[in-house]
Amino acid sequence: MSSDPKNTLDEATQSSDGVQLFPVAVRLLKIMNRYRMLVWLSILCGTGAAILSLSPYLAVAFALINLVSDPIDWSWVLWIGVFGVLGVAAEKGLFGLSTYLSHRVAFATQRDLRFELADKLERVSLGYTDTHSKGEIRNTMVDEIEVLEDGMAHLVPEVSAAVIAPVVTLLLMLVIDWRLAILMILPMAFGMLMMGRMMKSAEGPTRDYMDVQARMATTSAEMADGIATVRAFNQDAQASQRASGIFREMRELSDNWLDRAIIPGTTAQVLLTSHLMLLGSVGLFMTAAGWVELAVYAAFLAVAYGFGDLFAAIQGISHRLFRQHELLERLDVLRNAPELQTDAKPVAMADASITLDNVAFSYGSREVLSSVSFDVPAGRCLALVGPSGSGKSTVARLIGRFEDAARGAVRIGGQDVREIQPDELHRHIAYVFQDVFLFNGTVAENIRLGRSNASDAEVEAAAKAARAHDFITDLPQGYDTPLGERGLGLSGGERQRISIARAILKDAPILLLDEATAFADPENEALIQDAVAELAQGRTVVVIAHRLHTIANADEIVVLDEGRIVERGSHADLVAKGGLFARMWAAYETAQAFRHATATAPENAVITEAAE
Amino acid sequence: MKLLSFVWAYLPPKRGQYVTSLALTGVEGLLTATPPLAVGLGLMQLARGNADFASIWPYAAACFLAVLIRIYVIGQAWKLGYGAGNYASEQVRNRIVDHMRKVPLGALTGRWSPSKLATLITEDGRWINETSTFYLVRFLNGFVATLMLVLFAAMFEPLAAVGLALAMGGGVLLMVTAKPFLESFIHKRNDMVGEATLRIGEYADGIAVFRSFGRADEAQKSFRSAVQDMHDTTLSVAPVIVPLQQSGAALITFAAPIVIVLVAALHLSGVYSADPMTLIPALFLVLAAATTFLVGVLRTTLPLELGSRAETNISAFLSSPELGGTRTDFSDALGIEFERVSFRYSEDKADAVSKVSFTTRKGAVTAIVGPSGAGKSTLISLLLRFHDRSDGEIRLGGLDTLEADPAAVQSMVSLVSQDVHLFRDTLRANLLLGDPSASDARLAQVIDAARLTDLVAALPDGLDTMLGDTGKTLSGGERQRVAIARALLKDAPVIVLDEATSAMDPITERAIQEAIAELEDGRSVIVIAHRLRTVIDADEILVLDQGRIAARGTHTDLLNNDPLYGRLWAAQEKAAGWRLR
Repeated sequence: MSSDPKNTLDEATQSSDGVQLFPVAVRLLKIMNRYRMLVWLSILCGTGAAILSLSPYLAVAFALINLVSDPIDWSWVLWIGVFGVLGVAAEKGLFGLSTYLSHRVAFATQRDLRFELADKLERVSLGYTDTHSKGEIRNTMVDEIEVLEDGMAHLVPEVSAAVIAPVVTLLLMLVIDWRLAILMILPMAFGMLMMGRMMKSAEGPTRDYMDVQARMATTSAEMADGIATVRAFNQDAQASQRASGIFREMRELSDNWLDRAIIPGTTAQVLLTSHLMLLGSVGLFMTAAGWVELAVYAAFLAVAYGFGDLFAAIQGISHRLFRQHELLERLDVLRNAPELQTDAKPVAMADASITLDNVAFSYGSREVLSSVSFDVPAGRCLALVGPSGSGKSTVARLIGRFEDAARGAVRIGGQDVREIQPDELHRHIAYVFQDVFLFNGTVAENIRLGRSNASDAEVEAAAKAARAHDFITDLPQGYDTPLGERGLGLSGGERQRISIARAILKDAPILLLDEATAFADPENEALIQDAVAELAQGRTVVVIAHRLHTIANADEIVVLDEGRIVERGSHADLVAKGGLFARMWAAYETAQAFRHATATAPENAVITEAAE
Repeated sequence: MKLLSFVWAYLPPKRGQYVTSLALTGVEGLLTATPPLAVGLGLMQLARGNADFASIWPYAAACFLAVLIRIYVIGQAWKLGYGAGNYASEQVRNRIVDHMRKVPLGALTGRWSPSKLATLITEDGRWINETSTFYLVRFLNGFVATLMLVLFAAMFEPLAAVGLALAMGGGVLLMVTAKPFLESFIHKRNDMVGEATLRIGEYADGIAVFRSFGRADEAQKSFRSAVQDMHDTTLSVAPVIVPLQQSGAALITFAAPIVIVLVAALHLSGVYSADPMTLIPALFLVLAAATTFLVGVLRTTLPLELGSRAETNISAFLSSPELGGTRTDFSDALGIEFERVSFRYSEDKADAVSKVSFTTRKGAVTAIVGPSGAGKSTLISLLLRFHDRSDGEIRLGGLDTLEADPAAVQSMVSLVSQDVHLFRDTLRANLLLGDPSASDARLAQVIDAARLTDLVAALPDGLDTMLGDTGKTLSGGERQRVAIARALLKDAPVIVLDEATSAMDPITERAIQEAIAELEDGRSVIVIAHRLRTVIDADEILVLDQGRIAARGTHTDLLNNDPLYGRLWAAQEKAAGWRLR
């Protein structure tokens, strides 16, 4: 809660989202359940600190009682002061202890959560970890868990301080004099009332404000994303007008809201901090009239200060708890991700053949593969071709069990992949995809991912076969050069050759190639082709390629279109058939003959054709 | 106060209003200090035995009325101040957007990425708004109120002020001295944590690969040790960091007990005796001052610090250099001349491009080829002023590009690259970006030329289909053709092509080639070619290697004379004949 109109808009936003702060706190406590002894100890220390935080007020109260009595016992006053100092010191000590304990719990819980998620990542489908949620997983494991620290480490001691101290104070005041307590509370209660009314009237403007704020974020991001494009077309004036329109809308909305909220807002703000308004005025008269003893009144006034800025504290905490709620929600998405079903019986694969039997697969409601069937006998080569989006890569992913088929079965060596132990399955398949993951480690360590016990000589042999040895030895520290995020940047072609070296070292009987040879510069492309040729020898190969000449010698070419097999056969058969593949082949051959030219080169055949 | 002077610059028509608001805040501070003062004085009267209505009522009235007046004053202060703050943050946001239009585009890909800029506009803009008004007002109020309360307390009992000064001064001193220590400590911790974070993130990114190599368990072992390291590091430094952070604020709560000890000890030792009567309001004011200082001053310094961080971010962006140049008198020949052009991305880096000279003629095809990392794209970014060159001279139509109006350079040149930005808008609006005034007939012609007819026919709402993440997503090949259609509409005389590197199915590739042929027709073309075959008819081929032009000439010349080109050509021919098995 806050009396500031701006913050009120933010907070009304949160309460209108239906976030209950109490359940959030309970969820946080549940996460920390393993360390509940420490949590309770932390709460205990926090409570002790909260009670001791009244020390300065009580010291003043007792001192005042003494000062209005006759005679004044100064040595007693000195003791009061000394106790006050000790009380404050003890409070700080206990609060520190409470904070330390809660940090211990927070750090340990963060560690446990990360361990839990790491385990989880080994059980979800490979597709889950590898596609849409890649950045999200990293974000959850690294950043979001980091922010949970605030909820776990700070909120526990601070909530106890913010709630317990005022409650104890209020009880104490009721005991001292209930009439004075009521006088103190009245303006604050009225302030709360005003605040409640303001929050209610804020619901409409809040929606507008949220809406403008969201649009401002989108427009700004879009403006920033597209600035190069709009500038290229000199349309930036138009784009910036759109942005400034939203900025203006934001100002107008804020101004309008200010007009409406200023009176209840300021009244609430002042009243919530004005515990002296009636206590100071009416209280003085009551004391003058003898209804209250002077010493009692003086003591009461001092203790009343201990009531503190309760509202400011609660406001800050509710803000932060809301943030925690969002994080917990996102954490649960990953914690509850569906796991791969495994019947972990050891089964024997007869050979390195691949069979797809009537396989269908959907992403959500969109079916991307329907009734796809083919056989690749061990040691043979099958090529998948088709327009983009026809489902080629999905087939490769199903073979490697990145996903499970919705219908039908994928079999390797006669065994359904769902019945093969995942590690066993992966031992049989090597992948070379366009996108290569290098981790922080040396070149040698990255290659050794293929087989951890490979000797240096074997690593080097693999690199040589992958046509990577030459560029590796040119690196500053050769095979010991660190790679990865903080390491050296390699070109796409070089990364690809490292991944081929891995696959060579792995020596799996099945090889999946997805656009592995399509590399921009001719030298890299030629080297990668040599490397792939070496790798493909003697293995069962499934290859996806757009550059159709590279697969002309495949044993079978399967042509996919919109998730279905439309043609299959050898290259020569398919070209002769005159169907989709023949059209693709014709387009491919024409594309190979394309030449850049302006009208000054009219002899070029492409121009004439294109200008039809 | 940097934040204040920053906001001040965006306030001009509202400055009076803003100053009035700050002044009113000062008055409000005084009013905040009034009730404790009045009550203290009232108590003193009562303690002296003056319990009659006449001697009490001024204090009671002051205590009550101060609250009412404060409500009015704070209302005025907020109204004026927030109005001014809303205005200033709008101006700041507009200024950021304005600056985005004028900086070199290269600056927007590096340090000022789109997400950074969006944060700058929305989040930092909001912090500027909140701190320039709410927190600054609160701070000022707290500061004035604290000062008044300390002064009042001193008037009644000098020892009270001594105690407050000890606690406050000590606290602030502690905060200031602890700060550098704390920062270096946090810095050190962040380095250690950063290292562990990297390893944790890597596990998340690479888990699919680790699993597919059957190495997930080993990867997890290393992950677990990184997590444990992070846990141990953070835990070991917490006992240092946490107390340091809280020490400053902690001292102020000692104020009241310290005053009591001081007064009593001095009285008992006979050095100095405080008047018990004036001590009553004094003690009371000490409590009020300590509370006000904690809530009004110390607790607002953090938000103010965040606000000045936002100010630093925004100022850093706004102070990045803008593109200069105003001339638009390009000659008709529209040739491009590079003369000994060099460029490095930063002073401590080697030249990305070094002493490159070449000339293109109107209507000619100039190809740039070379191994990856040779500097091909850098040359293009210099021509388009994404970056400004470090040395040499670039002329377009006889004009030095540094003197030419950046917008005019843009309208002379169309860049078509693999990287196509589509807006969350209709396909029509996305196309019309090339020429907002294009007629429907012209649009239809361009759609045909860019081989987009089939796509438009297949879309649910045709040209009015929404694109982008909330609408229809286009494939890479389709996006390319949208970019070509835009360029056709823009009709710039110079075309710069950065050939696509990613693989595309042959039918799509062919459609793009046809569209490109239409675009090149009758224009000057500079093409970054990855496939040498596409440029064998070029008027001139520049072979770039390690930032320098290694050779130049026609295809035949180069094939006969340049070993690097010969090597690239041979590699390509070999690749073209390659068969898997």
